[in-house]
Amino acid sequence: MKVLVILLYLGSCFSLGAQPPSTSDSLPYYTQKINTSSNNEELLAAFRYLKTKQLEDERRQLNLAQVYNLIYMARVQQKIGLLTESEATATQALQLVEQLKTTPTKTAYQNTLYNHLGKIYKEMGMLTQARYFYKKTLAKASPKQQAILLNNLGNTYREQQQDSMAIAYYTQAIALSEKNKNLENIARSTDNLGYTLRFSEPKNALVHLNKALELRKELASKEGLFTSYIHLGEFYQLQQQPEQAQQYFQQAQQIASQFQNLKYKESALKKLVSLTEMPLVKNYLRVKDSLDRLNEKAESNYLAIQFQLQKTEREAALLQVEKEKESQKTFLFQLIGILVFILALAIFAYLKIKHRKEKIEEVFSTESRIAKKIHDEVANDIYYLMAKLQNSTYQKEDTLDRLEDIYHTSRNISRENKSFPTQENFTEVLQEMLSHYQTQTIKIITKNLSAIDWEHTSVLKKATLYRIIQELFTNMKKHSEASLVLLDFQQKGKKLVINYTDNGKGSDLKKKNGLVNTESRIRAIKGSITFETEINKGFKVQIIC
Amino acid sequence: MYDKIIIAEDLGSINEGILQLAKKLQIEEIDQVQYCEEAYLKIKKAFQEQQPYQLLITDLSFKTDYRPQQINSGKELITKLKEEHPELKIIAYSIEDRKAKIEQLLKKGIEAYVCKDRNGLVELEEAITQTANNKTYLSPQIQKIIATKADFEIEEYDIYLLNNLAEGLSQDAISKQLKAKNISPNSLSSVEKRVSKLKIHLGAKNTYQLIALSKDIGLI
Repeated sequence: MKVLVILLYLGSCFSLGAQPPSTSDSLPYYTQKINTSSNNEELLAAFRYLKTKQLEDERRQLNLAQVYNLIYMARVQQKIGLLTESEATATQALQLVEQLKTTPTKTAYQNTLYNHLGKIYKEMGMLTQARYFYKKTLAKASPKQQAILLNNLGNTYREQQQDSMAIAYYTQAIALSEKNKNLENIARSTDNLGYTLRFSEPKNALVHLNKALELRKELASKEGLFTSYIHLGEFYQLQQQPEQAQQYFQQAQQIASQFQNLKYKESALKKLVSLTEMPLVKNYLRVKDSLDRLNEKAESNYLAIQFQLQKTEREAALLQVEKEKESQKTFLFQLIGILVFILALAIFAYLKIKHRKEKIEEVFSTESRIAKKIHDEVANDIYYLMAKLQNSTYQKEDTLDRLEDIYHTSRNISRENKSFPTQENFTEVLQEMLSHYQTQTIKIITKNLSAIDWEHTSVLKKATLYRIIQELFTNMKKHSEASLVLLDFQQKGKKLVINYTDNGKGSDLKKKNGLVNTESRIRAIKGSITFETEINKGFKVQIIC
Repeated sequence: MYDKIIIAEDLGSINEGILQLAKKLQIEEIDQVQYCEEAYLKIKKAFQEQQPYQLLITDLSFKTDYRPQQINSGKELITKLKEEHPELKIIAYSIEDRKAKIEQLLKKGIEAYVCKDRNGLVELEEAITQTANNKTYLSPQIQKIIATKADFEIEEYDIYLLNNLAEGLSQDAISKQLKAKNISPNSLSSVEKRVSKLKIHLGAKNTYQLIALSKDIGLI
């Protein structure tokens, strides 16, 4: 019966398959082997090749190629009887197919796989599942394929002795094949129909069997004829007509001798031998059948073990590669992490040192400025006073006057370096400061000072402006001989623009002592300061911050 | 005259000066402290014992104590005491001569403000005498500072006047133009007043110089 099964499916074998998406030199060779060879060694070689190619395609994420590989791998597994593995491979392929875009190729692959699964389940004796997949294929198949599928469905019912269902499917298959005039399919289904009818309607059965035989003779299809002869032989054997049966079995044997495959010869001979009534022969045949089954099982077990072994070896190797990759990756990440951390530390340290350095520099410059002031303005005056006092004619009132001057000078130094009052109304703070520069001869005019929104100006900005303006006015008082100063405030968007103008004698020296400080101060708040002066043309400063 | 006063002052020499002055004024009980917190506690205790001080003479800035203090400046001391015991008279005696600072203290209700100056002690004597007679006292230079307007803030109106003067318009013509444009004040007298104010603030002797100065400093 096994030979028969193989023959029945030959027609449906790979007519559904699509073209390989990419071809390498060995691929057609191996797929050809898979389609034709029944040599286990060759099949295994083909399988190994495909497996390697599959891993490569997986790495390169070539889904179409992967599906193609998997289909052939499943086919090898089926051929050497590893049905469960074949099922798994086909399912994997089917999952990949699902991810493809809908194209005729996708449909073709799907059909191939459904059909394959149908065959697998049939071989496993899971006929209901087999029928499920055949029916699934049926929907999208071509009329020719549909005829084959209907025939196969019939076979599943026949195997379960549901002859009426089987007959119905065969009849459908014949009708469809007649419609598209496929003689081979008509012959196959007619033969199957006749064979099924051999118990219930022997006369009708013979008509169909003979019809199929005639068709196959016309087609000169060896496999078809072989099947027909075997079926007819069995029919006559059932009808207790051993001579007729023997004739047909002998004809089958003749055809079998033309095949390379010994299995055909064996099954024809077996049929012939089964006709003898000798109890010894019958006994022998029973024993041999059992033995064959055991051998078959042992062989497939051996293959399964070999498969499994290869699979685990490969998986272990793959796992190792993955692990190495992973650890390399981890190491790289750690390295990057450490580098980033070190870099961050370095930047942090650099900024901190820079900041500290700037701070120290600022403190140092402030200290030296104050020291210089005390020396120039206080110590000198006191020295002068002491010198005067040594001259006894110096009057008490004069001494007191000079002392008061010195007192005021020192108080002003203290005030200039006092911390900036942050909590108070900045307009008043500025007015207060300006009022100290206002004298009988120096008039100070402000414009828009009280219109500026000081409350929403940052403390740092205010403190900086305070110091810069103070510096400008100190400079004015010392050097300019100005009689009039205008301080004009303007809010331009987010920026504050302050224009200082005096009518003093100006200078050609643009940056004197204190004014250098104003530049570093304004830079700290990302603002700018511009000086504009010429001798006898007054002094102009623009602050933008 | 007072019978019981307290002096908060951290500089020994100044302290001595005030002490001599108080003795000269024949004040019986004179206490001296060097920190404002100490002053506060002493004053509170005296009130509790119902032998309160009548006058506090205090500096505004103190050296920081080695102990952390709750009251760190004369201003804080004055604020607290004037809230709790408004009847206690206070004379602030300080180097501070900034208008805003002094005005803040006056708002708190101090009776006198004396500037530590060449004439400081003389003025302090006057302040003690005046406050004892329920009067207030301010050092002359402080009076001057309080009286002066901080500075002159020029307005768009002034710029308008200056621009028109620069174009040769008479004050009368400017007044008429203001009326036509419905800008007030627009009477001739207010224009004249404003122009003379500008002359004062810009330090100009006449209108010509006013315009010249305005041009110099870029007002017009």
